[in-house]
Amino acid sequence: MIAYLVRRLGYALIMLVLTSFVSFLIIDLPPGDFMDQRLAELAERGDRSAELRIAEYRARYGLDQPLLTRYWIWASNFVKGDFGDSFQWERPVKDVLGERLQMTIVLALAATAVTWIVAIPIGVYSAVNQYSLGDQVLTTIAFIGMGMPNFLLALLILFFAVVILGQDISGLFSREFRDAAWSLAKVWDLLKHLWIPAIIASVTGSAGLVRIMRANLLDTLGQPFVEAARARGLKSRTVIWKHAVRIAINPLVVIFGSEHLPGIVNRNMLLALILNLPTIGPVFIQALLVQDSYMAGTCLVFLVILTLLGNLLADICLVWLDPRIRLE
Amino acid sequence: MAVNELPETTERAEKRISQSYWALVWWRFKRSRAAIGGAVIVFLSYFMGALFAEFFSPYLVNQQSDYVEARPQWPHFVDQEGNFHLRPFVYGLEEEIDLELFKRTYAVDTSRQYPIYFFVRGEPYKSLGLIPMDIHLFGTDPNDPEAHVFVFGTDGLGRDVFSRIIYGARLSLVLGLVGQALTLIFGVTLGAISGYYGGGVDMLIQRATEFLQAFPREPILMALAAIIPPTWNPMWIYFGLTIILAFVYWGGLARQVRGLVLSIREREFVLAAQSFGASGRRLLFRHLIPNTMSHIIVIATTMVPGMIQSEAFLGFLGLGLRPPLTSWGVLMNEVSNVRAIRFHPWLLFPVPFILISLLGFNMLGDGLRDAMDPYGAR
Amino acid sequence: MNENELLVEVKDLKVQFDVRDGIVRAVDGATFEIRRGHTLGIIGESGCGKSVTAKAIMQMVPKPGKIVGGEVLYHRRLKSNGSDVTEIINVTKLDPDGALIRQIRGGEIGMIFQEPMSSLTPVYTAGSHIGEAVGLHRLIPIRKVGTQMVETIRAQRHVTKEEAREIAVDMLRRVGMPKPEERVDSYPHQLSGGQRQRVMIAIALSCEPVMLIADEPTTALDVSIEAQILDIMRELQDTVDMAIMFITHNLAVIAEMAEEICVMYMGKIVERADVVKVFFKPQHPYTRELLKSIPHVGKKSRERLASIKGMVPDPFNLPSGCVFHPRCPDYMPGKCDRIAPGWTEVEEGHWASCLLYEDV
Repeated sequence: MIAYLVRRLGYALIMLVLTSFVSFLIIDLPPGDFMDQRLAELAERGDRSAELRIAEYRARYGLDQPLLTRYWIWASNFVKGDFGDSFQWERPVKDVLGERLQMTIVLALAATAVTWIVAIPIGVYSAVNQYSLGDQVLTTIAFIGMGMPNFLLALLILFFAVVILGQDISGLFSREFRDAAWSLAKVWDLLKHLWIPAIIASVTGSAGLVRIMRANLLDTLGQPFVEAARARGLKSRTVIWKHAVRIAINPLVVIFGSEHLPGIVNRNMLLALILNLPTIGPVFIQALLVQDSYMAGTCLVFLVILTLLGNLLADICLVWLDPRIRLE
Repeated sequence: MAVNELPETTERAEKRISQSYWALVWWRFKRSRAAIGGAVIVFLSYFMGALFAEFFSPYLVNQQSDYVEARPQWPHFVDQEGNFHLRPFVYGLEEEIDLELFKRTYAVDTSRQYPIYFFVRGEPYKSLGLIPMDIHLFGTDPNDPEAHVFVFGTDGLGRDVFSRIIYGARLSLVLGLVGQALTLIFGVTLGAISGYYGGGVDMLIQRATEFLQAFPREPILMALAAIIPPTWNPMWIYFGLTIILAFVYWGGLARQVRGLVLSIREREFVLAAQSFGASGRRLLFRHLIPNTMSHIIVIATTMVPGMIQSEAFLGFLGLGLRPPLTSWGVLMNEVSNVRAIRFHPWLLFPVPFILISLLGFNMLGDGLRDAMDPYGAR
Repeated sequence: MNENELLVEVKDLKVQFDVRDGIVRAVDGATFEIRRGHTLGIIGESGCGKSVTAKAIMQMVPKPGKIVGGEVLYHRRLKSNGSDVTEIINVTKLDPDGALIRQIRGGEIGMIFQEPMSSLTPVYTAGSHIGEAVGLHRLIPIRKVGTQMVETIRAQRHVTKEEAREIAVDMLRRVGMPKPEERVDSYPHQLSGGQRQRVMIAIALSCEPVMLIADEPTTALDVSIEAQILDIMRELQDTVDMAIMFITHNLAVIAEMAEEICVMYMGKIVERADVVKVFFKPQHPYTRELLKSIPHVGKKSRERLASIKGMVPDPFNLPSGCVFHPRCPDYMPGKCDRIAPGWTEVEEGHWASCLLYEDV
C-alpha cells in the first residue's frame, strides 16, 4: 500500500512539473506581453518617459529573456516558496494569493458541506421511495440543476437581489469587517454573506450527487446482503443506512475527490468574479486577461495541484472505506 | 400430448419481441416524455436559431436604432380604455433624461400604439444564405417608420435583444455541433485505437489524455482562448475556438471510448471475426466502432451542452467569439458587470434561452441513454 | 410437549407481483404446515415461487409484490413464569417494518440465503454480523435475589459487546469454522464460499431460532462443501430442536434433508407427502416427470435423457384449467384444460392437486 502511494506521489510530481511548464508556455503565447498594455495606457496619457520605464520594468521582471530562462527562474524559485511578482498588483504573488487562499478554502468547504448535506439524504430518499411522487419531483429538480451553469445561476440570483430586492450581495464581508481583525462578529458577518455563494456553488454538484447516490443506492438495495440484513430483523432505517448506504457511498467519495472538490474551485471562478468574492478565482481571471504571467502561472499550478491532490485523496479514502481494496 | 393453445398475446408484446434494435430504441425513446421534450427543444432551437434566424427575428442582427438601451415592450391585448384588440400591440417608447444618472431612459408612452403584424415585410435578408427574402415572422407596420417592437429591449447600440438572441443561437448551437464533431473524430479514433491495440500506442495515448485531464478545464479554456488574437478575421476566430474546444474535450471522450472498446474486444463476436481472418482495421471500423455507436451517441449528445456553456462563459469574459460576431457568449459579455444588471436587466434575457437549450440537450441525452440501454429496468 | 406440534401454518397463501406488463401470480394458493423440530422441504424449478413463499412467511415480500390472500399463522411459544403459552400470530397482517415482525425475524425465525458471496455486507466482519444479530435478539435473563426468599425474577437485558463477541466465536466453532477466534474478524471476501455459508448459519443460529428457513443454501457451493454444510445443519437441528424449511431444486439434497416434501409448480403446490412416498409413490404427473428426469448411472447410453416436454409457460399467459396440462403426459382433453384441480388427499398424509384424483 505504501509503495502504491509513493508511486502515485512520484507520478503526481512529474505531472506537476510538466503542467507547470505547459501552463507557463500557454500563458505566454498570446502576442505581446503585459507591458504592452501598460505602454499603451501610459502613452495615451502622454507620458513620454513611459518607454524608458517600461524598458526598466521589462529588465526587472526578466521579460526580455527567452521563455525557457524565465520558466527556469520561476520554477526554481517556486519550490523555494517564491512565486514571483505580479505585474498588475506590483506585489509578490505570494502576498496577493495568501490572503485569498483562506477564503477560497472556506468557500470550497462551505460549498462541499452544503452539497453533501443536501444531496445525500435526498438521494437516499429518492432511491428508497423509487417512483413515488417525491422521487419524480426531486429527480426532475436534480436534472434541471445539473444542466445549469453556475455563473448563469449567479447572474439570475444577482438580478433578483439587486433589481427586485435592492440588496447588495457581493463580497464576503460587509464594509466594516473587510479589513478588521477576526472576531466572532466577523465570523457571523462572513456566514451571512457566505451562504448565497455556497448554495449557488453547490447546485450543480449536489444535483449530480443526488443522481449518482440514487443510482448507486438502487443498485445496492437490489443486492442479496440487504435482504439478508432485513431477514435478521433489523429496522428498515438500519438496513438502509448502516448497510446499503455504507456500501453505496464509496464511489461517491471517489467522485467527490477527483471531480467535485477541484470542480468547486475551478467552476466557481466566474461566480466569484460576478459576486466579487475575495478568492483566487477573480485574481486568476484578471491575470490571464492581462498576461500577468507569474500570477497566472502560479494560480494555474495551484489549481493543478488541487486536482491531483483531490485524486490522491479520493484514492486514499476509497482504500480506507472499502476493506476489499485495503487488504490486497 | 396436446399442444396447449396460448391465448392471444397482446399485439404490443408480440411486436416487442420481434423488432430490430433501432426500432426498439425508438419505441423506448417515445415513452419518455422528457426525452421527447428534449428532442423538441433541440429541434426547435436549431430550426429557429441556426436555420431560419432571419425569419424568426423582427430585426437583423446588427441593425441599430435610435433607441439605445431601451426597456422591453410587452405585447398587450387590452388597451388603456379596456378595449380588446385581436391583434396584439405594443406601446411606444418615450425618451426621458434621468438627471440623477445622466442617462437616457425610456418610459412607456401609451399615446402611441404599434400593432404587431405577422408575416410582415421587414429588412431583406438571404435565407440560408441563398434565397433572398424579406418576410419576418412578426414585426410592426412596414409603412410606419416610427413603429418598433423590441420585445426584450435593446442593447447599447440600439439593437433588438430578442433578435440578437435568436441570431446568437445560430453561432452558439452550430459551434456546439461542429466542436462536438471534431471532438468525436479525435476522441473516438484515438480512443478506439488505444483500446484495441493496447501496448505502446495505448500507453502513449493514455498518458496524453491523463496529462490533459490534469489541467482544470475552465482555466485552460480561458488560457487557450486568450491566445487567439482579437485582430483575426472572425471566421478564423470561430475555427480557432472550435479547435480549442475539441482539444480540451477529446481526452474525456477518448478515455470512455477506450473503456468501451476494451470491454467489447474480448467478446465472442470479435473472436469470431478474428478467427476468419479479419484484419485489425477492418475489425475496428466495421465491428468495434459500430457496436460502441449507441454509447458514443449518448456521450456526444451530453457533451454538446458543455461546449455551449464553455462558449458562453468565455464570451462573458470577453474571450472567444467577439463582436461583430454575435453568439450567446458575446451577448453575455454585455452583462458582465453589476451596473448593467442594475440598469439594463433585460440584457439578461439570453440566460433563460441558454438554460433551456442546455436543458433540452440534457433531456435528449438522458432519454437516448435510457432508450439505448438494452438492460434498462424501465 | 406434542411431538408433532404445529409451528407455522400456511393457508391458501397468494402473492402477486404487479409489474408493468401485467400481474404475476407468484404464489397461487399454497397450503402446508411446518412442525416443531421437523424439516419440510420445498422443491420446484426456478421461478416456481418457492423463495417468494419463504419471504412471505417472514413478511418480507419485496415490492412490487404483495400478499393478496391467505394467511401465515405462526404459533409462538412464550415462556411466562413457567407455563408455556402459545400465541398465534397472523404474520400476513403484521406491519412489515413493525417491531413484532422484526423480533420474529432473526430472533425466532432465521433465514439463510443462496448466495453466501453476496449475502454478507462486504464492509463488516463475520463477528460484527453475528454481534449485530445477537445484540438485537439475544436477551440474557437477570437473576435478582429478593429480600425474603430467593426469588428469581425473570428480567432480561441485551448482551454486552464482549459477550456478543464470545457468542460469535462460540457459534463459529459450532458450525465447524477452523480457527474461529481469527475468523471472527475476517471480512467476507477473505472467506471461502463454504466458510461464508457457515457464517450465515452461525448468524442465524446465534439467536436460537425455533425455525430456520434455508433458501437454496448449498446451490452455489461445491458438492463436497455442500455435504459438510448439510451435515452441520442436521447436527445443529438435533442439538437445538429447530424446525427447518428447506428450499431447493435439487432432488438429491432434499431427499437427504427433508421429512416431508412439497412440490411446487408455477406458484402452486402440486403434491405434498413424506419424503419416502414422494420418491417412491409420486402421485402427481409433474413429480413423476421430475423424478424420471434424474439421470441414472448405468443405464444404456443409447437412451435419450428424459426431460419434461414443453417449456415453462409465460407468467402473463398462464394456461387455462390446470397450469401443467400442456406438458402433462396424462393430459385429459376437455377436463384438464378447463377445470383447475383442487387439493385431494390421495392417501393419509399424501395430497396431490390433480384431476386424476377428482371426479369430474
